This record gives sequence, C-alpha cells and structure tokens, in this order.
Amino acid sequence: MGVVKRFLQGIFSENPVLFLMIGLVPAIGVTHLAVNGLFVGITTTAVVLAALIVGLILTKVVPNEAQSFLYLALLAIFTTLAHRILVVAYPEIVVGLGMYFPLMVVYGFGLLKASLVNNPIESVAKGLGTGIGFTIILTLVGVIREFLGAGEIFGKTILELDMQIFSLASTVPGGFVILGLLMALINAITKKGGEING
Amino acid sequence: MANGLDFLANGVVSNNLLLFQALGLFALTRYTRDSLTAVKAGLGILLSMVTATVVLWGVNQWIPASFGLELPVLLLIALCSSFLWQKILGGSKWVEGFDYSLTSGLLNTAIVGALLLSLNDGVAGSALVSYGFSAGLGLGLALVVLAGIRERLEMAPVPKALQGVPILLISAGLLAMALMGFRF
Repeated sequence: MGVVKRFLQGIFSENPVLFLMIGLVPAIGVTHLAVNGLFVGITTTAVVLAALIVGLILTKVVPNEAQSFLYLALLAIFTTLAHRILVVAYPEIVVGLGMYFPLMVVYGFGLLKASLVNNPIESVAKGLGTGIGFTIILTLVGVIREFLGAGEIFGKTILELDMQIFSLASTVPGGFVILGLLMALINAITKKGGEING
Repeated sequence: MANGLDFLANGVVSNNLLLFQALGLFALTRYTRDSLTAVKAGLGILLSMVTATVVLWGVNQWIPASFGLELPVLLLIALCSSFLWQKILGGSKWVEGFDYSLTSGLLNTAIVGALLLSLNDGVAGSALVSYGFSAGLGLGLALVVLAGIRERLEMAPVPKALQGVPILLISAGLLAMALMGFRF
C-alpha cells in the first residue's frame, strides 16, 4: 500500500475515534470547548509523530519484546517536553486541560500502535493521517458541544439565548451523547454498522 | 473528604471515573459485550487500581512535585500493577480466555487518571487506598451496568447506524445524566 493511501487511511477508513475507538477519552473529556479539541489534537499528533520517528530509528537496537516499553518511554519524554513548552506559551489552555494533558501518554500510545505498519515511511504517513483524523474529530465534537452548550464557537458568541439549546452538552454526560450521535451520523453516511473493529 | 464513606459515594456515584471523568473508555467499548466479561474486566481494573494506590502510598513522599518526574513514576506504577494482575488473573481458571492483555492494561487511562486525580486532589496516606478502591469499584460497577444495558439493547430494534458503540455511548451519557441527580 502506498504512502498516500496509508495517510488517507488514518484520516478516513481507520479514523481512530470513529472506527478504531481509540482516543475516546480526550474526545469526550476535553471537547467542551472547541479550542481544547484543536489544541489536544495538534499536540497529540506532534507528540505521537516525534515518538514514532525516534522509535522507528531505535527499533533496530531494541528487542521486539521491549518495543512497547520504548514507545511508552518516548511518549512520556515528548509529553513532558510538550507540557514544559506549552504551559509557558498557552498557560490557560494547558491548566484547563488538567489531567488530560499528561494522559496523552496513554491515549497517544493507542494512536501510535494504530499507526505502526511494516514499512517505516508508511508508518509515519499513517501516523500523520491518524493524527489529522483525530484532530478533525476532536475539533468537530468541540465545535458542536460548545455551540449547543454555550452558543459559542471558539469563544465567539453565535447565539445569544437566555437558555442554551442543550446546556448538558458542556458536561461529560452530554459529550457521551453528542459523540454517540456523531458516530451514528457517520455510520449512516458511510453505510457502516457501528460495531467496533476487533 | 472525611472518611471512607465519602470516598465511596464520590468514587461510585458523584465522581465516577467512567461516567463523569470519561476515563476507562477503552474498557467500556471492549469489555461490555456481556456481563461476565464486564465483571472480569471490572475486577481486574479494581485490583490493579488498589495495588497502584498502595504502591503510590508507599512512594508518594519521594515523588517530586514537578510534572516532569511525577508522570514517569505514575506510569511505571500503573504499568506494573496492571501487568501484575494480568499475569495473576491470566493464569487463573476463572478468567480463562479473558483478553486482559498487556496492551489493554497499558492503555487503561482509568488507572493512570485515578493516580493523577488523587495527587491533584491532595489525597495522601492510607486515604489513597480508599480512593483507589472506590474509584475502581465505581468503574467496575459502571461497566457491569452498561454491559447489562448493552445485552438488553441487542434484543431491541436499534437502527443499524446506532448499533454497537454509538448506542452504548448514548446509554452511558443517559445513565450519567440520571446519576447527576445523586451528586454529593
């Protein structure tokens, strides 16, 4: 399979949130604001790609049995680095994310494992596609939840109402419902059944 | 929080890791196809979480407060506790055939999340174990209840697009909304 196909696979047919059910924690936990979804998506993509590239370079010197631990250690290093940089550049967003930022190591590990294929170049292409697919869905869920829950999109007021359309959209229970309905909509469009893979 | 009952009420109902923190969703999508699998997964997570909090209680005073060193230590604790129970439960007859693999143990955000939350909330000493037990019990119960709902939904005329994970997430959301009325 070509590099472009792998890249597109990560965005569409093997989208981590919609079809592989990976990264559901940030997709519900942080997306009450659209900016959080975009921020976590981009940061996770960068962290996973960095860990993936360094991991692929080190693969030859690390035994197969220890590769999961290598990737986990690399994710921990890059997440810590990203935290150190971003807490200075965007303190409000990083503090607002709370524990979901360090948890990037765990859900990033799922994204990284989903990106690994036999060819290293294709793995990086798929990793980039998976990260972009992940970012698109997190941002989309964030936009929907912020609009329904607060009448805003990226902090800009769209609807000024005394009572919001669906105030619970800003909460975690509302996030479950919105993500479930979005998955059902995508299933209806793509004519898929909704059952998980594997 | 004053005593164990407060931790229990918080862990099981008002701050349920799965329903109100969106943690452990990997287990929700994989281990709720039937009630027995959900019970086994819940038990595995509960034991891992209690073990992790016991270890954290022991090493807590030596963990530096900075994020840089805290995260690898918490990861190592979560990894070792889930790996330990994977080995123990994987070898017992009762959980024969149960896919509590290393990868799924590693991927469990609930264990790492519970450790991070306990440190953020300033829980220390023996209270950490009560915290871990309550959080694990709450997560396990939520898994079992949602597995029961999923089993019932398999017999219901659910539209094709909603079948599987979408209806499961919507059910989890509605269950969480119902429990919001009992928040302490």
